[in-house]
Amino acid sequence: QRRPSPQSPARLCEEEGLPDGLLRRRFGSLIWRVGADLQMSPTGTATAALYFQRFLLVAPSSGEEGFSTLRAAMSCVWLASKTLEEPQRLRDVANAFLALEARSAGRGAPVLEMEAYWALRDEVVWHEQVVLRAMAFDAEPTPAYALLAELGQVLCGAGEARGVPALA
Amino acid sequence: APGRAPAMQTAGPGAVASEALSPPSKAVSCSAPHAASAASRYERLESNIGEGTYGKVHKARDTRSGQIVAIKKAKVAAMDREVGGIGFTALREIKLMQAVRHPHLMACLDVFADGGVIHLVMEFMDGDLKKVIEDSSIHLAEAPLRAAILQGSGTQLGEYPALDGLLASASPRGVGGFWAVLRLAGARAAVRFATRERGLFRRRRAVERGAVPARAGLRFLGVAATPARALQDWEGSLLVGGRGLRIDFDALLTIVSDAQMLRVDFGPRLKVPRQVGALSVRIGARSACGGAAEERLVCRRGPPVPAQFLWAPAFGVAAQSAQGQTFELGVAVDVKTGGDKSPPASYAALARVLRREDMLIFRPFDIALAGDKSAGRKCMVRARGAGGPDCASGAGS
Repeated sequence: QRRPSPQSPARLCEEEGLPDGLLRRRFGSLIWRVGADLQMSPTGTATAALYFQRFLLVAPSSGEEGFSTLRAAMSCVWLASKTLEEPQRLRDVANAFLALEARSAGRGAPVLEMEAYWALRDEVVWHEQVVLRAMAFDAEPTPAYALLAELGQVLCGAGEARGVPALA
Repeated sequence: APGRAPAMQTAGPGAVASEALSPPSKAVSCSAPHAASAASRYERLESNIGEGTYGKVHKARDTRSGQIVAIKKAKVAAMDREVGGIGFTALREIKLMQAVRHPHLMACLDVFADGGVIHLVMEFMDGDLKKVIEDSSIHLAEAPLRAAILQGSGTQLGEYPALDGLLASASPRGVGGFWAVLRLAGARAAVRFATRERGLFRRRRAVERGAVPARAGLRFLGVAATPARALQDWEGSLLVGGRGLRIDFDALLTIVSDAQMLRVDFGPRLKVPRQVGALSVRIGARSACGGAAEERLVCRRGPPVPAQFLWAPAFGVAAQSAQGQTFELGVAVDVKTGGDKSPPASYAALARVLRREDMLIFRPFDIALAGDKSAGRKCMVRARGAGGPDCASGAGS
């Protein structure tokens, strides 16, 4: 599989130069907006956001080794839609990302030509594998209620308060 | 089933020359799909030891641990090609394999992508279930059957001396498609567990004449028993059919016809019934409760199934759930033998849903008695037996 060049024509988003925390917040927010735009289920969008944050935990900084944060975010949404069996077309995902990204930057939505789209598709497919590898192919995220139940158990370990985690 | 292959196993005589699955690639990053630590870790010993829907399977050795492993190389399905990227099938398998941890199930040791193709590294097992099923020298293991019976009846095994003989009579072919009956009748319960190859034969016939899709039918039929007393209060006699109800028809037919023909082998310890006093059928849908082992059916007509009525042996349900399949519908047949006061014997059948389109639409008896439009009613009349007081109650559809 072809490894995309960081300078490929499909690289439409300026994302370098942002502090790590801001980058996470910006793309996390973007993923939620894209999820709403694509009418994905809240679980699907949350899964995509979780994939993205897990990826950023181990991925090198944006721009190195050809990684693109935007492509990774796209692949996270695409992958989550497949994991949860509510598939989205990659073209829709890409369009939503590019349009919302452009809107937040005060630009008009870019028109994705066919050639640019296929280049983008190659990149996203490659990024999808990068994301999966970064997550050690663990595509089944721990559900929120399990974490809440665990937290409840930690916080209410004794006495009458045990009822809370039991209820959870 | 054969045990797991020990580590450090040498290549068999059919092994081809060892070769790395992929040439060591440049180490770019721990996150890169072409990371050198992935594919080059495994040394291929034998190519294409198996091939299925998912893809090809190679035998390989983990160069770090020396363990012999099976590497499944995912094939890209047509649907996956259309969507692009990693396929649904591969994702599903990865998710399931990582979710399942059990000594009796093959573990997924690693997953890696090589050349854009997903590879699953699994424990190597020399043999497969098909060979076990086809091997007439292999009998059903006693332990899972005992576990199933305990699960189904919720009572102590020691109460059922007849069980030993029945376990010995279990057919090896039963592994693949047996149906079994646990019967609990009378105040002092007795359980009989029997396999019925006749059901398999009937299914085969139905498949041959095209009445039953080959993949549907009697793949698994878990049967459990309930104390007869719990069902005594209910007298409804009902046979439900029509759209939306999809059950394993063949399973039901086998049970009903067995009751009808009085060919159920109740064993020497039980009185053989002379007639069927009443026969009633209940259809249940899966309740959305609990884990796999607690899966129950709640009847749509008639009272709910008692809480202690577990509808499937635990091992069966667990295996189903591991494959992402589940029981959706079931049928209970209550047969009253003798007079009014005799408790009903209850038979329960579960329909496994493989794929919705594979399931049969339940139309009573029209498969077995094709061509005769009134056959269903006749069959029901016959099944109710002669002169039972409950004959008039309920109506077969």
